[in-house]
Amino acid sequence: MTTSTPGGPPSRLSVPPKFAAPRPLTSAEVSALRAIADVLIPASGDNPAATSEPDFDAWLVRAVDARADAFGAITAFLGQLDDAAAGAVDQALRALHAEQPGQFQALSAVVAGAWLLTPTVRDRIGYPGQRRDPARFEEAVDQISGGILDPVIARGPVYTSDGTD
Amino acid sequence: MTNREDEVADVVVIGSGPSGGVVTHTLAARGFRVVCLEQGDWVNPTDYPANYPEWELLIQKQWAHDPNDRGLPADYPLDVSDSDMWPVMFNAVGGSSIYYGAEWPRLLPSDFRVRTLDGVADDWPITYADLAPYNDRIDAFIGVSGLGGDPAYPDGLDYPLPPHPLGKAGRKAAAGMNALGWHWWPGTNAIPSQKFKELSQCARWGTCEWGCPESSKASADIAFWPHALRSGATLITGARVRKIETGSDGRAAGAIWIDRDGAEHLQRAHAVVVCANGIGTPRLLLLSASAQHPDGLANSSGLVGKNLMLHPNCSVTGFYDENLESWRGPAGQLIHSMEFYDTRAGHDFVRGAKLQALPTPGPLNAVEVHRTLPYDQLWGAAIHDVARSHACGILWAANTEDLPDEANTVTLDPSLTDGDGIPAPKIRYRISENTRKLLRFAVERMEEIHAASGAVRTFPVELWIDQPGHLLGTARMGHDPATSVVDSYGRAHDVPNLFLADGSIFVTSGSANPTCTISALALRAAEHVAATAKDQKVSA
Repeated sequence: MTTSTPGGPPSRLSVPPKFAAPRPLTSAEVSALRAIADVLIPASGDNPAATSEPDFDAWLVRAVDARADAFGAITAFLGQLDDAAAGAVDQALRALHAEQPGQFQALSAVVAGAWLLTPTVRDRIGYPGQRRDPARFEEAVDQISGGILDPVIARGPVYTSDGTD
Repeated sequence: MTNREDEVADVVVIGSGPSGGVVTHTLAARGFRVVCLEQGDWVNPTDYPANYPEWELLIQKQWAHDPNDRGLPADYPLDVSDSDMWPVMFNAVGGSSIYYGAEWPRLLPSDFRVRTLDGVADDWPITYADLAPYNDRIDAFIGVSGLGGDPAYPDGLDYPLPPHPLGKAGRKAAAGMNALGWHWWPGTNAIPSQKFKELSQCARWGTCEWGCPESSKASADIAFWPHALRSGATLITGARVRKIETGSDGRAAGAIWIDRDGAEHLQRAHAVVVCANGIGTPRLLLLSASAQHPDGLANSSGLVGKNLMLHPNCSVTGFYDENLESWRGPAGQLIHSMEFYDTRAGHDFVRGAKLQALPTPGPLNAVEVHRTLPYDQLWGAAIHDVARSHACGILWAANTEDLPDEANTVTLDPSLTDGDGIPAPKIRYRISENTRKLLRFAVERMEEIHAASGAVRTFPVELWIDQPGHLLGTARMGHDPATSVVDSYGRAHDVPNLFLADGSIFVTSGSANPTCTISALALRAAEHVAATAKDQKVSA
């Protein structure tokens, strides 16, 4: 869904530019995000951990782009982890959650958002995505005509008169 | 400054949202030379975030409802440091209807008689019956979908298109209402259930409040502007108005606006209609102070910018143990309830709330709803079930009636400015004790509804701090120039060729979503402008 315009894109006053992170993630930052992902979204029962999902890293890049506004805060936190063990990552996340909820929101939204973008997860949780899904012609009447409104109609008018009728 | 004598318009309209679209089309179709000035520009259906799989991340910042978060060139900042809520809007062709949910309930008869019936606030200078014919014509023009016969309204209310399906979520919500014996009705939406003029049949994307990629929501850019432009109207985008100019006779002479390159222009006109919303309109009137109007234009009453009403919203999201296909739209309201709309004996507050049930599209949005839980109930092993809950949700939300209070104001900020250096609005808004009680009451009722429907987990939010898009009351209508800014047609008492035609002219807020009423009032005002054109020196 990308187009190009000769001479550069026109100025848009009411449409944001397509967000992109100011620079690519470093391999260390990707590793830290993967570690975070597997703490926030670990394997559980039949559910794989986040990084076990095919193409998780590709969707992670897209999620980071979509919240490029938080890139600085996210990468600053990643820099503090520096090859930390899973236990230390967990403690750091809990501290961030408690002490800097805004930054935790952005970080966890990017990680969970990337996970939820992977097709395998969407299949597993039954999410078809937002899409065209027009109703059948008779669908509304089928749902309304079965008596569901009967008690409302039987009760009669419920509005307050303004005294002019 | 550009000022070409040969470009005097009959009418200049400021703002291209629903009211600006209605006014411009109505007058252009009658042969008036109409120029509309819009500070934003067009948004294409392919622009909207729902076109992208990462839409739930995009709406957190770059497509946020709050202009202070979004910060687009068309936006202006709002100082909300002294406000309990942060008003939201969208600045583009179509105005904030780009982002509205298109819920389309009319005000009820009691809304126009609050002083008479409840002894509070003021009566409107018009009645439900006065406005109903204009409602009917707007509904017919844009193709409103709904089911006639709602017992919450007087007889005779019907809609041009059939209602949308209730869906599994709507039927589940309705079952709870029936168990409680409370009023509900299939949702009325300005979203066509069948193809209608330029509007596509609703394809149930479910992302109505972040723009419709299907062009099947009656936002003003689609519902009114194609017709206005075909009728000969001129729409200038990227035109930010900084002042309404007045002549030596005290009448409005036109509007000074700034283009995308910062150059100033004067659009002269025989009449001016301001449709800049309940915050933008008082801001512009205050910016238009002059020697003849030292306290702001049309402000001899001192009421410009006062009585800001924001319809504080509250909600309870419920999750169920069955698949309700909650990603499916419209959203848009699946059902609505007027059960608690009016004052009741036994309540410790006056007036009431409109309740509406909506789906809950998106798994990341479901995660966000769960953020009030302790860390270990959301993250770790718990996240897998939370993610699955996206399909099982119902959002019950309430608009509460916000009574006018002169202490709730829009003024000019002494230091904050927009991208053109124009003073930004400062919002001072405090939630009243009556509203606090009403919010708590509404949350308790919505918890009851979820319980009756069988919800397994609920998440109440007693106030949506960042979601009042209903901007009302800051230039109220009335008969008396001492206690109102405009008459019932939106004509300024002080400036006979200046009209206001947006939510700022509401006397009270009701609790019905206001765009339906705003559009009907705009049609009534526009026809009055046309009918009195001779008096206004407007040459048809």
